[in-house]
Amino acid sequence: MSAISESSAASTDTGKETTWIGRPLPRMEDQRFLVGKGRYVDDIVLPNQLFAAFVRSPHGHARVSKLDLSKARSASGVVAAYGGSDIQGLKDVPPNWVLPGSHVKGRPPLVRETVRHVGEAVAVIIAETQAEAVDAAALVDVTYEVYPALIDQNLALEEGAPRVHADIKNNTATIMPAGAGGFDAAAAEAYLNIKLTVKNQRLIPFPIEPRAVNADFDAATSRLTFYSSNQIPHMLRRMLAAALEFPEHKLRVISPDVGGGFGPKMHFYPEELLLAWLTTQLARPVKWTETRSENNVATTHGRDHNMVADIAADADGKILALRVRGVANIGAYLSSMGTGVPTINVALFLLGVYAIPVSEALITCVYTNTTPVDAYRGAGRPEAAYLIERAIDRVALELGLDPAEVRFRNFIQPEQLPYRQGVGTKIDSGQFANTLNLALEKINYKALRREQEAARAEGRLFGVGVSNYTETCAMGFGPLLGAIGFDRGGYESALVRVHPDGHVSVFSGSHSHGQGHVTTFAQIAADSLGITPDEIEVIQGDTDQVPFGTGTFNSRSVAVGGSAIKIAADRIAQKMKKIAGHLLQSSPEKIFVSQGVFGTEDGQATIRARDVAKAAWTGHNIPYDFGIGLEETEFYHPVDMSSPYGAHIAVVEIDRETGEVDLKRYLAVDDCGVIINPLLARGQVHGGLAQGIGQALYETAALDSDGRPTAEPSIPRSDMLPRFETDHTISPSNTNPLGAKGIGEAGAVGAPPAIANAIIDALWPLGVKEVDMPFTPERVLNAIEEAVGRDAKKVAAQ
Amino acid sequence: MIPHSFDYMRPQTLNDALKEIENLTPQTEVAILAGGQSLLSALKQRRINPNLIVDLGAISDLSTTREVSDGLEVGAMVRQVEFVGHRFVSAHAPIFQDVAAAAGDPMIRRNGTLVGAFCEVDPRGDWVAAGLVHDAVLEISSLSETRREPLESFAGKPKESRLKSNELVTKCILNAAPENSISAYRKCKHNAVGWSIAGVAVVLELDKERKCRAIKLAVAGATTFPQRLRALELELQGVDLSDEDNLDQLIRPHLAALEFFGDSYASAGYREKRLAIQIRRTLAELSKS
Repeated sequence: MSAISESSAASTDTGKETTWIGRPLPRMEDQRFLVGKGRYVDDIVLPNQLFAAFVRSPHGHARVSKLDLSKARSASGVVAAYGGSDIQGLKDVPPNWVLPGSHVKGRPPLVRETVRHVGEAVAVIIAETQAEAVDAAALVDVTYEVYPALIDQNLALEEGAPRVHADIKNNTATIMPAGAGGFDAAAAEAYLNIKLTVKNQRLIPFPIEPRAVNADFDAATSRLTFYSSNQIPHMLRRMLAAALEFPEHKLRVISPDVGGGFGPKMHFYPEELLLAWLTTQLARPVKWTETRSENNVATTHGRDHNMVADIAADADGKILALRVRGVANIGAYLSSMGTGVPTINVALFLLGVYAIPVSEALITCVYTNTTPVDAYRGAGRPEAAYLIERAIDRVALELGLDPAEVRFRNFIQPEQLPYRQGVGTKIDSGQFANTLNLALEKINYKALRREQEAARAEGRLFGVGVSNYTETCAMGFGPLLGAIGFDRGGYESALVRVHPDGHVSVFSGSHSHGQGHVTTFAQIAADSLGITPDEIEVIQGDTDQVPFGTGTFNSRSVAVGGSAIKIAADRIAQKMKKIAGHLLQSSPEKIFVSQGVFGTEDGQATIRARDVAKAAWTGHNIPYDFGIGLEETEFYHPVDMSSPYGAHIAVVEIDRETGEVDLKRYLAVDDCGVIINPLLARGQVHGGLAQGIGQALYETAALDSDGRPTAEPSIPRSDMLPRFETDHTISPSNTNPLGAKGIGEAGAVGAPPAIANAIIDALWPLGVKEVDMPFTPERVLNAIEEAVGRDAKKVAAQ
Repeated sequence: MIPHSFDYMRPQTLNDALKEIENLTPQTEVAILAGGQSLLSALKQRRINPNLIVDLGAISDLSTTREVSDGLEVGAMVRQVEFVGHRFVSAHAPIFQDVAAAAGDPMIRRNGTLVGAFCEVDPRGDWVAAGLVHDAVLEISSLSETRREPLESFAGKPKESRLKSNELVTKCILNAAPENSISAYRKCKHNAVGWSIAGVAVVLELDKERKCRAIKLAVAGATTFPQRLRALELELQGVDLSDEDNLDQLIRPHLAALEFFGDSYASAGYREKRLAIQIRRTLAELSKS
């Protein structure tokens, strides 16, 4: 029997009116944020606090020929100063996901001799106040021998390119092939063959709270308490303990409120290793809060993946074969998921929700003199979705077919599910045609196409773009993760405890960095226990309170973390029924619970949950073999992942003269399985869309020739976004007991191709076939002028 | 995000402020704090490292606005939001309401001063262009003299020669727009910071046939400094501004002589194109209003 029916059985058990799952409950955690009482790492000041400031290289590639710390060391308030030669024996920060066979270069805590990217730390100053640390850092005398920097990954692969690391040939960290091959044979038979080049530009993730660390070694107990603004405190504990060779049971990681993560806050960073080491040396707490300028260059970037696709299709637009060559820029060193994101997370999803018989991919990860690139909202899946969705549209436009129709012709059909894709991933569930139909209906697609015709007749550039992204969420099965070199567990932990007064503590290994776990997790536990969410406290982010866990990434918190809570809470509910049954002299099967009261079927006898709990914790009036307490731990370990997907539609009008894109409408119909809290799910869609639309229209690191990002990176503000139209279809996942999938990354995956397709749809009559993101006015205008110029030349030649 | 250390003075009178900066040693680099919307970012990022900051915030004389014959005097500490709320603006200088709707955000306009924006002459800013079409004049004082300089010549000078080290801009004087004139400030925003990449300020009088009788036109955002386009103003006299093809022909040559700047979002070349379009569309819009 599938897990889903268990879920619905539980719902009827507690009565419809008391089902909390599915309600748009406002976020319970927001009060403290709204009144300025959030507690972030930078708010934590410990007795004897010291502060760190870093000296960072302004050059992308250089040799440090002189580093003189003497002036800094003698400056007011300075306790210590270190350069690369002062931290001998401290290891490089290792990556956490290494594809087998990769050439690994971890991030050095401080530059030893060679600088390999702008923002790499050359020295660290420790002082009594933050101001003194920053002032002394300005006194550090560094001489750089500056060399040309290697920025572009395709250039770094060229014959004779200089090496970023002397012992790594062709600057290649890893090459991953995928698929069964056979493209050439299939293409030879095809009606249509197209080459498509797409780029996912480098992005700066930009959480509102930058990174922050406070490392506190207590020499008396030999315990290290490590505060970090982090998505995955348990992984950080393990990685930090290993790198520092510190006993893990003496290390406590606390990640309090986190002001946005988006991926970069799950990586283990040089500053973290260094501060942990410094506090053990100085026996005083050392704090560092990243500045915005540091965040731009020292925290990992996202995307930066160039792809070329060969597409073979028949005359009806059915794609017969796809071949993709990807070249991913991973930066100067391997950050934690550096080789995994551009390979596994891209290749496995290259075929989207389409049944494409022949597929092959080859992805090369390349070192350059740039800030390391790692997971950022979507993490590989946006790159894959962008490629396949652009490919579908290109086939449609080349054949003069409707892009939506071509999607219907290529979808995986319901009877094919679960479906194993040629390049690797397994799609568990979905109703792709239904979801797209709903989206087309909601936006009135036919009317839009008529509007487009009218606009074209007036010479206006009007475009409609569709994307049917998918991703795979809720990581995942341990042995599988092991096989692909991902050094994390796929489980999530939950401990649910009912206190003698009936209140409930839920401890989760998942960790909110803004998503609203406190609310959704309380809703899940409330349904199992028959109480209200406000009687439940959700506790996360402290490895002493929550001993083990995996953390928040891959849109996994509800599907894996939430399932763990449900299972643990269900077990407690069973025990409470058993106790209640005993106390009410009825059999447990005949006990129901609602609104904090246990009762017999006939409603004759009732007992409050708190009295049941008190009985459990005192053992006064229950059989000995019931045992003491109401506390259950679950390490929920899914054997399979789930595949959320959606149909997104963008409508644009482009000013032909200025190149400005007006995003007139954006509709997102997402299928994330069972929804725990529709309000928060919509919030996740909105946030993801803001970042996805940001990638499409606005954002780029825009590295200069030294690898330095623009001083003022663009991020989408509310006045730069349209009103979001959202809806859902619900195809419950059968891979977890909640039937949930994942929604956090959906918008960031779905929006870039929908908007790109709309823009190319608008420009197609002018002869524009390819434009790269971000679609800034100048870039779009250049594409228009180039196409029109090409046209004019053709006319002149005739 | 922590500035270098500096000495801080908060004089109570203009005279005290001028005394503070009168006999500075050559090593003293002074910065004047009014609204602080440019200065504080520059300090935090250590783009400038003055060793003395003179805060004008306590000098009540500088916070006054006063209507004078056919104009308005605006003190150096008058905040943008206060200035825009003055009845003179709605009656005689409504273009500044356009600017306020397009410049910065409510917090910036609550702190930022009009005179401060004039002193900064940031090429990407919005206020200067509007000041130019109102023939703004700056009053500049030192202990020994008080002089007046048109904003137009002030903005056209290199930064280091605009003010002597012992001088402060104490107020500006704005002229009223002509009776029955119409005006507009229109800009194209930089997507990262909201500054202008192409801005145009226009005060326009139309004749009975709705052709241009007289016009003042200044640009910002695209060119290396905000400036009046006086030759274009002359050429536009008598022109039908609703004829966009003709306007386009008139405008472009005047931009060819200007110096433009760019960045990774919008190159100098794009800004030039965009500015030409912005001017044309703004004029056409006004001609139809």
